[in-house]
Amino acid sequence: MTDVLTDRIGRMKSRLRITGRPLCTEKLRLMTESLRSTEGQAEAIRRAKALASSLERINIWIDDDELLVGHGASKRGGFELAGDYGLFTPDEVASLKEEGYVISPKDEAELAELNKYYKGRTFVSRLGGLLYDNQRLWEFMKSGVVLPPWKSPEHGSGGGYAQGGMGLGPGLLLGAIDYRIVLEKGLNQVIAEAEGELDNIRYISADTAERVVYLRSIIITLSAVIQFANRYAEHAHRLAEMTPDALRSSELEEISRICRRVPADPARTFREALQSFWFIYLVITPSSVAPMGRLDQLLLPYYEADRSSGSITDDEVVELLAELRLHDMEIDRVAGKANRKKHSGQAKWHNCTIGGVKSDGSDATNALSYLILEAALACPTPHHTITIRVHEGTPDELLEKGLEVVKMGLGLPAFVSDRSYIEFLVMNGQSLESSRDYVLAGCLDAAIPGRSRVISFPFVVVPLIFEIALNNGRHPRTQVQLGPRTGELEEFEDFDTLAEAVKTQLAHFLSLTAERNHAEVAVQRGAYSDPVLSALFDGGASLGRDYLEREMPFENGSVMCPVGMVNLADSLAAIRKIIFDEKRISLREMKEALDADWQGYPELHEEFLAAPKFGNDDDYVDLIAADLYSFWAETVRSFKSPFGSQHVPTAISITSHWAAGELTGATPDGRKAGQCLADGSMSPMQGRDSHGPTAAMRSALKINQDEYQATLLNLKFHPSALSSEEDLRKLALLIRTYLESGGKHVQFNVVDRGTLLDAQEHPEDHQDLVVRIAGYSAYFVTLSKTVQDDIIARTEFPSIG
Amino acid sequence: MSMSARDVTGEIFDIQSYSIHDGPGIRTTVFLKGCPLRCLWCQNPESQHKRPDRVVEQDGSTRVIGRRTTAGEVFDEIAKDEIFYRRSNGGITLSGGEPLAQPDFTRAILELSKEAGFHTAIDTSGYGRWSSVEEIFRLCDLVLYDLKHLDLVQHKTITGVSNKPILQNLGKIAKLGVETWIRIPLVSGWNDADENIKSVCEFVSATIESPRVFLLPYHNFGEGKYLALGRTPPEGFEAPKEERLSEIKAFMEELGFRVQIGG
Repeated sequence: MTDVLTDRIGRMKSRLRITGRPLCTEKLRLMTESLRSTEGQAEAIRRAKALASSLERINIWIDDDELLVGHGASKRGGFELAGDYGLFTPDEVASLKEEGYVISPKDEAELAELNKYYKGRTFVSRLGGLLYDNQRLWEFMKSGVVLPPWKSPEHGSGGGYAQGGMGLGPGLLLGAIDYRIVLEKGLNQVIAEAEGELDNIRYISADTAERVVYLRSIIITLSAVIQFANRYAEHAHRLAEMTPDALRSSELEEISRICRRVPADPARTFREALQSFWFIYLVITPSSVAPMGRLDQLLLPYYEADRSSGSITDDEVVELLAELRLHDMEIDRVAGKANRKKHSGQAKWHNCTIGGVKSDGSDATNALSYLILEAALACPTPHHTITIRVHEGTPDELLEKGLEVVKMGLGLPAFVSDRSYIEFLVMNGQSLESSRDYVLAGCLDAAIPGRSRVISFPFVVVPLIFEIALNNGRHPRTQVQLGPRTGELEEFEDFDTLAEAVKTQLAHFLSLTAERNHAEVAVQRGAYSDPVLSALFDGGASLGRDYLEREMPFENGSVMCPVGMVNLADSLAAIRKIIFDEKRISLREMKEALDADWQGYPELHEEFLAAPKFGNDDDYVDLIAADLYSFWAETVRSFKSPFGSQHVPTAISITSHWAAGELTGATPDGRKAGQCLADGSMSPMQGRDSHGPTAAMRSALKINQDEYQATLLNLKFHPSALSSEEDLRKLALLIRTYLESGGKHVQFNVVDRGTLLDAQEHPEDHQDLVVRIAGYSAYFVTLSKTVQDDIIARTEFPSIG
Repeated sequence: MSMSARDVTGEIFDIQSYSIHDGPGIRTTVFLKGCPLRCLWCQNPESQHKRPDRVVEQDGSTRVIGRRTTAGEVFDEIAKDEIFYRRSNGGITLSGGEPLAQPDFTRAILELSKEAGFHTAIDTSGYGRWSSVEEIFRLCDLVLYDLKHLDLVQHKTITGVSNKPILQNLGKIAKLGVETWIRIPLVSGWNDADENIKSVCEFVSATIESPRVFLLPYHNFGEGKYLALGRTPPEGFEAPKEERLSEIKAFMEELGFRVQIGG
């Protein structure tokens, strides 16, 4: 089996540009030119023509060595720009350049020109324009309770929201399209279905004309996708004729043949299927959150056919899957300044789901599940990411293979529980069969291919709401009365009264968040239609309705996600213990220490830090967390979603716990002002768990995770805990136990050198870091400097560049 | 559940969950405080005395290592991870210090764990009077048994005690039919010479059927602990070179031992 780079992949990998990547303005220019020339036509048609124009004219190329072809941008490694989201103002461009993005003077001038067209048409300006004169909601939008805080109607957050990532937006849906439609039917068939609808149209209802327009937009765009593939076919053929190397020439002819076939017609071979998938994926990206679906299921029939006819080897499959990784590394859209800082400019969640059960409940693991992991071992790039669905029948070998990949320190794959995800979907009215076909969208949210998509995904900063509760409904910094008056500190006579006030504020802000979500969906409807995506949802081509306009079989269009819930639980536990149980100080005295950011209160700070913390299997605090999560889920579900169904609770922080932490003052869990919040949703606050991974899991198991669309538990390990095969087997059993006992997700952060260096410098933040070397385990921070240095010297990972 | 077993008291200094190098499956290791041996190269100085130790951390703060507790409390802590033991066929390992040095306490924890159906293991130097430790070994599913030197004089120099009871006890444990893994800490120039390795192998071969051996090369990770205790860390000890370790491993494998380097 291939577990080293083949020469071909090695050469392609060396061409990858990690830094100094250029901006690609061509797609935006082509689309904008088209939009300018179609003013006055129906919006859906204009957008269809804009996409078609870009697909028909954008610069294409085929690199040496490529067998899988197709690039999203017009330049190698180009960052794409999406006009729909926000403007690229001069200060945005300046900061892009500062960070090493290559922007030619010509591109810069062009960007300024293109900006003019989008002024007033961006998602940010539409949402700002809708809400800015509503005193109640506008103050809420500015408060930072939902990330990011708005500064003006045109600018989400002085640039931070432009091309955000903190929440979703146009083209950034967590939409699981059904790739089987493309691979099995082919786009010609889908076009024929839309044409059939048009042929039979009867003008009998108010929306018939809209449907006609939409069906036409589907035909325009899907035809353009086929045209795009044909351009590659022609290009490959031309290159084949020019290439002196006979071997490469025949490869290019084969590429040409494949691109003529797919995605127009059904795929017949593994390479046709992968190429068909890739063309569609290119068209629905550069979305940073487009799921890849269950690739091991999707590609299996083609793989099996090729293997039984002997036309492909496993090594060749691994090479193609590695090529998919490299291609995916290139897809990126530029995020706003604030967001880039957190994600090193390249955050994306192109999630490939493997393993799990089939719709009949039997184990779905197959040879491709392993080969997808082999490709990650052979080509260790951070993208695409992989999630392994785990159920009782998942083979140990799959988990252990996954852990071999984890060991490389890329933070992938993640492991999720089929039981919990399927239970969640069934609770939401889905049939068992379709629930079993779920995929992970974005980071970890449940989605059913062709049957669901999330449009609105606000990150709600829970500890900030808690600060507001301690301030009788006023924002702690601006003193604006944002929430109900739930009482001054002196009025809370016992813990329950205080907890009740916090819940009242939570419910209030969730109701404002629900309103915000309605507005967010409303401004997108009609403005940002996407006929390609819409045609690839269930019945999409015959329905003739945009995905923003239809109710989905699993309607999770609008969710609400808490950030820092664990910090709130830890804070409430500390208050209960120190203020109400032990009556050491008053709430007011605590508030003074918080306002001073603990400066001048070292003993009090110690005391609050020493209070029970989530992640150590201590009921005192864990039950508070469990109660908060139940309350959140129940409250979220009580609000109607913009699509007629109810809002859906989810709980992952991505990287928003950094941004949220910056907005939040000191908290009674001992956290200082501006420090980041707990990551994920089931993870203990960083450095506050000291009882090992099983205790962290036992705390998380007290929360009803089944009612959440996603939860996230991140555990940190030193590579020494994964050194032998025996270690991997035991870690696999730890994963199984957690996922079979109520856990929904776990992933492992294998710490790198940088973390160890940071732990040396800031031991207080890394109390939980366990290192195991030569059979001896210890908390890293307790070791002497000499020994720490020794361990650091041994912690080297293969570079991911 | 036996009330009397729950009430037995003893001294411990740590309970470590997700212990994966001390026996099969996912385990919790309980470190008992106090050891009759004084190995020259000991890397767990905080485990030597039965009484609590006060340590001064690098930042100047002080902390007490060691506490008196009951077998019941220890068991309750261990039992929290029951779901993980069940799935992985894991359980508990009593380590130290020297668990045999607190025989009543050790026996009580093992009894409670056996009753609960957990896999039980003990990590021991084997040093103890048979009459007072026999019952302990009968309660074990697995014994991790340290052998440091076969020569009586050398052993006394290295550890401060005779190896006579250690060698005798191993034979008796073998007769009980309890699975036993041999652990050999290896320190260059002290116990890694051919002569000792050969004697160890001869003894092990004669005592245990198809033995499983772990070679534990010396490490100095206890250095910080010595400093925190206000003591001088042992100096001049080194692990055997990689090549020597491989040689020893190969030699033992030739004899039919299952050998692993590292815990």
